[in-house]
Amino acid sequence: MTSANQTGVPAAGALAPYRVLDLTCERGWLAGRMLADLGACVIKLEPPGGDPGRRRGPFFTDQVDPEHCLRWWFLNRGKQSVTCDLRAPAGRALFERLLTEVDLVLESFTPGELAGMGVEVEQVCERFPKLVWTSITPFGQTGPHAHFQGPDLIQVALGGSLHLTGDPERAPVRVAVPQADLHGSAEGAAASLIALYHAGRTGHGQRVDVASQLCVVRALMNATPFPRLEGRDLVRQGIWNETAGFRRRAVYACADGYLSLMLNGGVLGGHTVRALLAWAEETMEVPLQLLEADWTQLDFSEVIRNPAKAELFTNLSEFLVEFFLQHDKETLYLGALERRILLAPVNTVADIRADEQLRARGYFDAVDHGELGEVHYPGAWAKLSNTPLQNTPRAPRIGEHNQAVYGGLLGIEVAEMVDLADAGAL
Amino acid sequence: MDDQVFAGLKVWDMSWVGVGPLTSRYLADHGATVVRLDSSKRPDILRTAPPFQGGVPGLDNSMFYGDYNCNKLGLGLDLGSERGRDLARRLGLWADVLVESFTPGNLAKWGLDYANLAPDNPGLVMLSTCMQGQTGPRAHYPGFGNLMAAHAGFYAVTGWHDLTPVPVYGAYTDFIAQRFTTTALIAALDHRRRTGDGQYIDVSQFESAIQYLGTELLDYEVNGTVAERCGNDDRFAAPHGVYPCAGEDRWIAIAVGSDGAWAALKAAMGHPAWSADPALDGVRGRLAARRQLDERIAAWTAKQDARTLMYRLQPEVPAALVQNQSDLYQDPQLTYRGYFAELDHSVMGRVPYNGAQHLMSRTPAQYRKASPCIGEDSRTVLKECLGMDAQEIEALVEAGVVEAPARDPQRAAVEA
Repeated sequence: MTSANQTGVPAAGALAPYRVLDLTCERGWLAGRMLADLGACVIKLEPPGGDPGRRRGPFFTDQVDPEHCLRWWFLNRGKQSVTCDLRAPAGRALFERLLTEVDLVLESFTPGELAGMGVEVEQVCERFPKLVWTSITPFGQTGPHAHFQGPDLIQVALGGSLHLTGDPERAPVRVAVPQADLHGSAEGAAASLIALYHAGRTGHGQRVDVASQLCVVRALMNATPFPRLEGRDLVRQGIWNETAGFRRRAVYACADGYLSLMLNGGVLGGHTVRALLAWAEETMEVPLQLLEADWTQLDFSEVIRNPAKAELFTNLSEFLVEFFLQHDKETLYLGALERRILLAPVNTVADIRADEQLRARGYFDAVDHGELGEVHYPGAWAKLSNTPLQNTPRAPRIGEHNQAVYGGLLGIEVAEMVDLADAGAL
Repeated sequence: MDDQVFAGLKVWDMSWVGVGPLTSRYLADHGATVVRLDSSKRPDILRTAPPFQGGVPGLDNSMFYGDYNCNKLGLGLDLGSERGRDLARRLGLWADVLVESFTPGNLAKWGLDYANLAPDNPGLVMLSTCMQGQTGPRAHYPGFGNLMAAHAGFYAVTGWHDLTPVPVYGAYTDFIAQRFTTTALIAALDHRRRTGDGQYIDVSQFESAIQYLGTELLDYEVNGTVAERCGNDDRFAAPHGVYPCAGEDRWIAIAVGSDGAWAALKAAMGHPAWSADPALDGVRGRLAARRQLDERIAAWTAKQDARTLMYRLQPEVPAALVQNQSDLYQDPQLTYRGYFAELDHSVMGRVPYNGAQHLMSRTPAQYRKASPCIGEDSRTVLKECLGMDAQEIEALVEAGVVEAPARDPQRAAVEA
């Protein structure tokens, strides 16, 4: 998404004055990417040989190559890459020089790991009082679980979302695409900006400590207060939803896939039910009980108080099973839009790539990958009228910006760069 | 300790349900003055949804609403009336930030859109959040994050291969979008701090949510791979699953992501004979044998206490008790970080609010005020923000334009 002002020069991003040093491993990559989208200069520091996260698939055309890692591509787009061995004294000296040039450090090491390499964060923050230092980890920097290993499945287990997802007759199930670290990273971007805003006003930097387990807890919507207010725990209900105290079905098969439906009465969903029944009547006989019910009156409080009304929703769900099987996903989505019915197709990534609305809004960015060609990426996640998100170049190759950053920004002479490389620092 | 980051920042929150109120809560938790619109004629629908204190429905008794709106001032306002819309506009000129989530086009009808407000308030940062964005053929798509989670591809990758895909709990994409709206909004505020310029921000929940499927979208783009539901399997790790434990609906999650973790798990199991197969010492062998591994491990965990087993396995083996909501209140890590904020609500009493997911060493989030009942702070808002006197305010209350609690007659006499 490039947007240009009247002179034809692309407008700068909101964070254009900021420079960020990104030390994160895979679990923190998204944070710096979001800040780069907003125009910050983000320098990704990689160990010599490249960030280990580059070695995990999937890869471009399935070629196992650290320069072909698709997660690297997506989450490091718009960043610059420098190599630096923090374990080597010469590397740490280089790191110190970088610190003088940046406003924010992002890192996601396991607590204690940096200290083990000889980087004492407290001391760094004392020496650079305006610096914001953001840590993104599963459980936070300190506390009884800070040292736990927290891959995605572990975080969603401890964060409570696993317990609430899946079919009741089987084990709880996670979203197969890892989510917890992405929540933590996006939170890291937001919280870093709160701290940068403060540093800009007062000159006071600080430490920011994000725990992505808690971001999973926040995503439980309304579930956490249930034990305290209603004395009960919500449980997983598969394709059904009975959170509000009555039972309705949320996912249905249709002719060529699946769809999801929000069945409510009252102001929230009365219209949806009436419009669906009218639609079904075009091809089917609708039970009288369903036609005669006054769905608009059946808000949550009404249904919770009256089990007979609650049963109407179960009957409605069962009736709709047959109706949806008669139509395909596209027909149902377009028909629902026309009738203002609360229904959504269960889309796959293939459906999303072809989505008409995303195309109309120019969502996918064409990113130039040189000899590999042009690749379409999910693009601007917000439209800012004055400071648009930047249409940034592809993710960097390993150490691609060593010269630009060490030579250009820090003014290191070529001879010294050679020494640093010889010392194994780059 | 410094003053809070957004102390003095004025926010007019005309949004409802999830993303908008969650975004303004970041600002409120960090010290901004946030005025939240509500009305008993058109209450935020979260007020009609559980959990309710004691299980009793009531507009001021819903913690679903409460949880998203602590630290805010509640203004009861009838936007259906000309005078109500006039007050909304005056607040739009008072505000540094306006957040809204109406169906695109509604605010323009009322003269409350950015184009109408900006000439008189050029520093205004205005955020609009809706399902699919303010422009394009689906701009008017109605919906909630539950449906958007299906639309944006999350249901398709959740569940078992041989069963129907299942919903992710709740309005899942709201909890993705809120972090993108907040990031964009604060970036715009920082730009304003430096330049004085306001701007308009349009966030589509769809567009921000699929950032969490970006790698999978690229994998489809370049390799034609369509991500699918696959239970708890991981492409690169085995054993990787959720195993039954002692007690009703108690489970442990185990995610062996390295050969070292496998060695540690074998040791914890006491080196059973089946685990001695050298093929299992490499990830390829374990992936090939994943179903057998799942059976063996389930048999081993079945009679054990999930919490005890987690502490036995961690940190060498990534393992976790599958926590229900009650467990979260016993989680020592959450307790250590003081995650839940307990506040006294005028109707619900002492209730737990979800807290910030980040700690800040100098300017931590603070919890000063429980969520408002409808119109709870109307008088304060009209007086402090718009500089109205008691007579004007009472006339608006009398006319039904503004909702406010019945006045204490003695105090009214003193003010008169």
